[in-house]
Amino acid sequence: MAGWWGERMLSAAAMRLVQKSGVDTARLPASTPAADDAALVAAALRSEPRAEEQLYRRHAPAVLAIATRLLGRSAEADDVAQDTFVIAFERLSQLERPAQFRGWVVRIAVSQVHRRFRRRKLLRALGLDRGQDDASLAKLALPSLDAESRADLARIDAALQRLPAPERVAFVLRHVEGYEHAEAAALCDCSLATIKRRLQRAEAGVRALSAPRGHEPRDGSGPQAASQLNRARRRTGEGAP
Amino acid sequence: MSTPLPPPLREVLRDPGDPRRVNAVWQRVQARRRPRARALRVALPALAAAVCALLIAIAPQLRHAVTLPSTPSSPTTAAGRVPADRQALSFANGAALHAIATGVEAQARVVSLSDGTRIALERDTRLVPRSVERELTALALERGRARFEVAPQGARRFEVSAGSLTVVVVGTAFTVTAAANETLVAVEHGRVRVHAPTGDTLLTAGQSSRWPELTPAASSATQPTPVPSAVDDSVARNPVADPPARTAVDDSRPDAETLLQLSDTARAEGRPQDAARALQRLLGLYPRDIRAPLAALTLARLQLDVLSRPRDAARNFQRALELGLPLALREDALAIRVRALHAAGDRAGSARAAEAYTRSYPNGRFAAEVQRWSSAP
Repeated sequence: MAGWWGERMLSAAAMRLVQKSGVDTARLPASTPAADDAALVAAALRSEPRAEEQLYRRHAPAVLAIATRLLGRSAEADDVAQDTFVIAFERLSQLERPAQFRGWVVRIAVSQVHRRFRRRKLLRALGLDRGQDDASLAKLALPSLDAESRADLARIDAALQRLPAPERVAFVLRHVEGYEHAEAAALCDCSLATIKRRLQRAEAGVRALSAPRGHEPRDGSGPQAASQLNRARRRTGEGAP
Repeated sequence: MSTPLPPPLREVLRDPGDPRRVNAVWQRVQARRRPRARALRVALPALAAAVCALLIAIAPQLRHAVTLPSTPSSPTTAAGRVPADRQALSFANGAALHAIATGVEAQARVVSLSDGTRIALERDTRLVPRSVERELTALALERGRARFEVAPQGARRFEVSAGSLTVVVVGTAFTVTAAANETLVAVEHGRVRVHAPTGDTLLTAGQSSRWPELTPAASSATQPTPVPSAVDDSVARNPVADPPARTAVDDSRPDAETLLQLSDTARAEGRPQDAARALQRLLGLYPRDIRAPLAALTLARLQLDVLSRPRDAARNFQRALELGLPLALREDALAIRVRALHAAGDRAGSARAAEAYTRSYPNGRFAAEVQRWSSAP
């Protein structure tokens, strides 16, 4: 309870800043979090007590979730989340658009994930990578998901394991997190063309590696994995529009 | 997010960012950031001490080398040490007091004085020393806003002037705001005496008042004196306090900004009762202020989580909702109101609040918690 409550709490200082910025809090629609972020960033820069914590509690769940789904390992994801917020708070004064704190902090997290993948590759080359994928997609599946869909997710996990890290990250950002191409490119700090290229390779790789024998994509417009999961959603009623 | 391809797969995954993990990582983030702050806390005083030692060592040489302006000699004890309250104040690092200012774009700045007094300057503020002597420290707030946390001064007087006012303190925390056409003084704890052209006023903890800057003609014509307005009525009735002077100018009730500031300070200093009183007063005086809904929400949270007053908390959650809470916070308020009513023993009310939540958010984020609270024995 304290977690979600804490992140929803606006300090009086934040209220003041929102008011000073000319934003009518009473009429704010869903954009309130961004306005609150700007206020909280300003408060944190003034070293106001708890401003950093409020920023953290507001965005940590998202950062933890993305890092976990990108890395597939909860312990490493915790490390990434920790590093991300330490870096973010140290560089807070460099943030040009405080209202975009969420995007900025997720970008830091993605760059930290890239570092983790490079480290993992090195450890693997040395035979020292003993980490367990305890948070793979299949292991994160909702309890209501049927066995067949879980098997699909496990196949995607296996395919992702074999992809180079940049392609894996691109695939997860696009197809697991749902970011658009431009957003994924910004998060990976690369061009739109680069992210599309990576995605194309990743999708081809996942399609080839995750498809059960004899099952090729029907139209070739999307990854096999997504088709499988769409079928799974229809069966379970999850994520219905 | 307009996704041409299939919807994100995360829809069929559970959220791995559970509160326990979030809390655990926060502990680690704090642990990582603390050593640097601690290192700074250790390094800066050490550096200051080293500079002081160096200055003490070279002072005799400097005394011979340059002709110093005559300064009043300090009274010394038999052991040769000067009592702290009989020394002229300086900065904590030993440097003589000089003007300090913050720019329009600058961050707030906190300076410490040799007696432990702390002065926090907000942006676009300038504070200059007028007189720094053994018996008197007089500072002038030329513009902006500064918060003073003054250590007990013993025999020494500590004064802050702003515009035509002079605030005299003994040991207290207060804020002075020097605006173009008025000066605002808000006292957090302790007492201050304000000398104004229109007369003296004693402000006690929780009180604040504003004084318009008068032109000489207006001053002689109307002789206005501010009416201190109490944040806490019980404080206003304090028999120790001097009766406030009453005049024609009666617009000096604390503004919403001041009340929020008092609430912030009280919360930061672990005085939730005072914080709640300031928020209550804000809601009473300015129910239509755009910050009133959030003030009500904050008050409700204090009452529920800190002050153990769930019934009042439930009422203020309801009030926050009625005042027009931002949409992003409505779900939270509706949900936690269920818990407040349950904690207050109002089972029927809790069930009704849970129904209201479920009606508004059939698939809400807190559906499970709301169900648990409303059905718990």
